[in-house]
Amino acid sequence: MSTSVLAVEGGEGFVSPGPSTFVYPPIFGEGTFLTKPMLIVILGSALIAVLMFLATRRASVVPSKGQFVGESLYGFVRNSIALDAIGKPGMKYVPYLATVFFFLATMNIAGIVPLVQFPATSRIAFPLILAVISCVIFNAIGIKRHGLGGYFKDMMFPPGIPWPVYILLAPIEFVSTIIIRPLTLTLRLTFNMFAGHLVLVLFILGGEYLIFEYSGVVGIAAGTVAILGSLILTAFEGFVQLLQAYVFTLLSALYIGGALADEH
Amino acid sequence: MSDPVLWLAVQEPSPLAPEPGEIVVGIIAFVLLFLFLKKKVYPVFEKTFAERTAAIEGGIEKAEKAQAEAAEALEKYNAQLAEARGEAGRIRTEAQSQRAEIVEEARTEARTEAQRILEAASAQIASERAQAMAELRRDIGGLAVALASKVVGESLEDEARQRRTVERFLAGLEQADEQAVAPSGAAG
Amino acid sequence: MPPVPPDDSSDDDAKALGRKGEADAYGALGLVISGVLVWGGVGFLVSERLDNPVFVMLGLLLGMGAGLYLVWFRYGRQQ
Repeated sequence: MSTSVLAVEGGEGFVSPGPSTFVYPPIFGEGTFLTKPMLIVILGSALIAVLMFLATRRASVVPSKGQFVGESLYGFVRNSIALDAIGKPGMKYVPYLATVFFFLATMNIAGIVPLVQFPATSRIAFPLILAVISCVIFNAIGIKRHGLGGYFKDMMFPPGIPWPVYILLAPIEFVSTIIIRPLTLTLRLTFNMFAGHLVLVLFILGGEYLIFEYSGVVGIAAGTVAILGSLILTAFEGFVQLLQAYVFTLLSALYIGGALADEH
Repeated sequence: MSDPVLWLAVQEPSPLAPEPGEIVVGIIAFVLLFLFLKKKVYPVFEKTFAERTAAIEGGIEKAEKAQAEAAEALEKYNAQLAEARGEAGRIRTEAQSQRAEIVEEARTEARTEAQRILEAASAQIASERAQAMAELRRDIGGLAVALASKVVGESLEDEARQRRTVERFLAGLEQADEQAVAPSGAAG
Repeated sequence: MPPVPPDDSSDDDAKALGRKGEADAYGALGLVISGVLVWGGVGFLVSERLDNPVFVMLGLLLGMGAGLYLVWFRYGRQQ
């Protein structure tokens, strides 16, 4: 719909891209289900599965190139995230954390892949799913380890505070752990991708508009600068996309590690 | 929905509202991906990690073992060398002592032999001498009688004959002496 | 936010400390936001009921104060 808006209003003046940029109509027309973000998630997941599976074919002690890349990525999540943030018991959660990292990195990077050029994770539904799963996992671990009462007592009533103050503080601790954690996980990722994509679209559409609609020497020059700037921004976006996938995975690991720790 | 522009103007999409369809698609995609990777991919990675660690540790172990073996072999070799040196020294000492013994023995033997030869020679000489003395003693009486009878028989006529007689006698004596010495020399 | 379990090597310790700092920063932010949300929300409800906007302000301030106190309590004292 956003494209149609631009097409309709293109001649009358530049319309800055807004939230509607992130809304796609169903691919196969009105009434069908599949949209571009969904397609990206489905194809991206399939791509991860296929590439990873190929990386394990003929796996040997001396790795082939594909195997080396797959192993390095997995080893990075395993050693630098799970084992670093959680410690030895973190091995149990490596499969989940690695899948989260691969999934998010792929859906983020889709934002700078030519022709795809949309980060599926800028649609809040996808980060929300993973954030809720992470939240369920770390709370379940905490309850399993300390018991239901013990877990919430540790969380909401830290020792060393006069009891009337607990009335003030306990709800904050509860909200901060149970609601704010998954919420910040979700929003941090979503808005990083949202803002990054918006800026990229603004530069590219703006450059295009300047060159083809505004035209003239000034328009073409400014438009060229905008398009070149979008290239630099694309590289920067790639960095942000990987970083945000890492931060999401790392924070999930830290929450799990915290729930596993003895003192709360 | 028939007029997209109007629809957008009325209902600006909120980036905060998760779309149900996307939630369903996302959950299914993520769970399937997780199950697939957990079943098919991660165990293989873990296995190769473990194998690699084992290979590296095994290599280190092997190298250590080889080193230990080499050290052991060196020690054994050194011990053998020392033993061989000792053996050689012992043999040399033995040979030296044996040589001295042999030389001593030979010398003693030679000395004994020389002594024996010397003794035998002197014994022979003594016996020959004794024989010669005995012969001389036996002959000298006969000779003295023959000389005396000749001297008396010739009656001592003239001095020239006397001298000839004596000379003849002496010549005969010499002849007899030669005859007497020659067989005894051959015997000695 | 609970501490990161100790690693065995000193290099990993430094890394884990960095991770802990990151997590603490997000945790502290979460506490302040939670405080404002919870007590600002309560203040809003009270204001609606009593038709007096002062309780929203009080709630927001109280929530921020409580959140900051929690940040100090959880992360500030240890140093």
